[in-house]
Amino acid sequence: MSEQEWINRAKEGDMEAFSRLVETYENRILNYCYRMLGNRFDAEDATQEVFVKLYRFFGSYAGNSAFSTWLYKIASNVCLDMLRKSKRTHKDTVSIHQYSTEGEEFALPIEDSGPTPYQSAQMNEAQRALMEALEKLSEEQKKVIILRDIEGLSYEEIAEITGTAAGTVKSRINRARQALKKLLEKDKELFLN
Amino acid sequence: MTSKHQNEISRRKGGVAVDQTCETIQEQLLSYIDGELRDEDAAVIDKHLTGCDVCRKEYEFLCGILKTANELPVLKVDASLHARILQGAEQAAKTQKPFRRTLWRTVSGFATAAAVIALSVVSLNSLPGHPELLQEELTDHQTEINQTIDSAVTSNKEPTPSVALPAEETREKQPAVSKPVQNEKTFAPVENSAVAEAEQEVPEAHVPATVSVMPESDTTQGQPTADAIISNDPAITGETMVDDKNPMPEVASESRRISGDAVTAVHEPALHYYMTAEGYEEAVNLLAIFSQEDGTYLIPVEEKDNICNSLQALSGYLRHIEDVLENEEQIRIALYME
Repeated sequence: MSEQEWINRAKEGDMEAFSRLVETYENRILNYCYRMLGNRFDAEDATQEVFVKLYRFFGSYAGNSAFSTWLYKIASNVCLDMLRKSKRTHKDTVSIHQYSTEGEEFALPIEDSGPTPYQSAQMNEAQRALMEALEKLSEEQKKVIILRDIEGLSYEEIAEITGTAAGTVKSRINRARQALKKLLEKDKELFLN
Repeated sequence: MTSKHQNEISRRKGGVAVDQTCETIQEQLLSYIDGELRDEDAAVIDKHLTGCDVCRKEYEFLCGILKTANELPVLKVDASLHARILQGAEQAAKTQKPFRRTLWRTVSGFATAAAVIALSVVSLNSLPGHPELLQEELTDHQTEINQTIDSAVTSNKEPTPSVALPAEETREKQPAVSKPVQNEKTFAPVENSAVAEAEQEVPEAHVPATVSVMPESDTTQGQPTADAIISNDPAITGETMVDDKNPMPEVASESRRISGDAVTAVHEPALHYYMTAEGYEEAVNLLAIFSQEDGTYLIPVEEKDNICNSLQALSGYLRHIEDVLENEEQIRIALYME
C-alpha cells in the first residue's frame, strides 16, 4: 500500500493506518524537536503533541504539499510554541532581582545546577559546540539551519514549512549560517580536520 | 558568481587588494559548497582555493560545520514513547466530537468570553466602540454581538462568572443573531463620546472588577498587546473601528498580575473573529495546525502574511490584523461562527 493510501485511510480515522504513518515519521519528528528544543524530555512531549495534532486535524490536510512537509510544519509550530511558553514561564516565575535593605536593586546570582542540554548526550566536542551555538541563534535562524543542514530539506520544502518564498528562505539560511559560523569561530579548530 | 564579480576579483587580483578578493571569495563559499554556482564561477573559486591558505581554511571550516551538522547523533523513538503517541491519538479520537458539534461547543464557549470582553471595553473607554451594541449587551447580559463591527481594545482579563452567560443560553441565542449576508458596509466609526455615553448607562455591578485597571505597557513579553472584538454581522465587509488617534493600548502583564496566573493570560485570545458558518469552517481548517488545546489559534509571526491573506479572502473584514500583528511574535485569535 502506498503512503498516499495510508494517508487516505488515516484521514478517515483508521488507527492502523495512522499507526503506520507514526512509525514512518516519529523518529524524524523526534529528532527535529530535539534539535529545536534542546532536550529529550521536551522533544518527546512535543513529538506526542505533533501526532495528536496530526490526528485531530488530519481532515485539513488537503495534499497540496508533501505529507512530510506538513508534518514538519506542525512540528515547527509546536516547538516554537513550547519555546515561547518556556520563555514566558521562566520570565513569570523566576525573579532575579531583589532589593537590599537600602532599597538598592541587585541581581541574584543564578546557579546553573543541571547539565546543559547537550552535555548528557553522546556527542563529540564539535557536535556539542555546534548544538550549543545553535541554541544561541534566534528561533527563526535555528529552525532554518535545522531544516536545511541537519534534516536535509530542500529550499522549496523549507519555504512551504515556513510559509515564505524560496528566495527568502535561501537568504535566511545564508544569514543563519553566517551567524552560526561567527559563533563557532572560537571553536574553529574542532571543525578543521 | 556574476561576471561583475569575476571582473572585480580579477581587478583585485591585479594587486590592488588581495584581502578583498578573499572576502569576495568567502562570501561565495556557502553557495559554492551548496553547488549553486555556475560552473565558471565555481572554477574561479576552485582555482583561488588551491592557492590561498586563508580561504581554504575558511572553506574547510564551513565544510566541517556542515559535516558535523549532518552527522549529529540521532535519537530513536522507544517503545514507551511510541505507545504514548498512539495513546494520545486514541485519546483525541475518543474526545473528538463530530466536526459540527465541536464548532458549536467552541462558539458557545467563546461567545461567553466575548461578552465579558465587550463589557470591559466600555469601562476602559479608551477606544471607539459601538454604543448601541455595547449598551445592549450590558443591559441584557448576553452575547448578541450583531449589526456592527466593534474593534475594541481591552486588557487580557479573565471572564467573570457573574457576567458570563451559561453556554446553553449562548447557544440558543446564536441563530437569533444571524443576519443574512449582504455585501455592503452598514456603519461608520462612532465617536469616543458615544462610548462614554454608553458607559454612563452601564450598571456598575455588571462590569467585571478587573477592568477598572488600565493595563500597563509591556511589550517585552512577546504577548499579544491588544484584544480586539470584531462582531461580524456578515453584512459588514471590512471596516474596523481602530482609530488612529486612539491606537490600541499595549497590554500584557496586567491581567497576569491581577489574576496571579500567567497561564491564563497567555491563553486569552487576543483577537476574536465572527464569521459565517462557511467561512468559519474554512478558517478552522486553515488554522488547524496552529490550534491550541483551549480552542484558540496561536499563529507564529512568520505565518501571519499567509494567514492574514487567507482569512481576509475568507471573511473580508480582517484588514486590521496585520497592523495588530506588526510588532508581535505571535497572536491568539478565537473564531466564532454566527
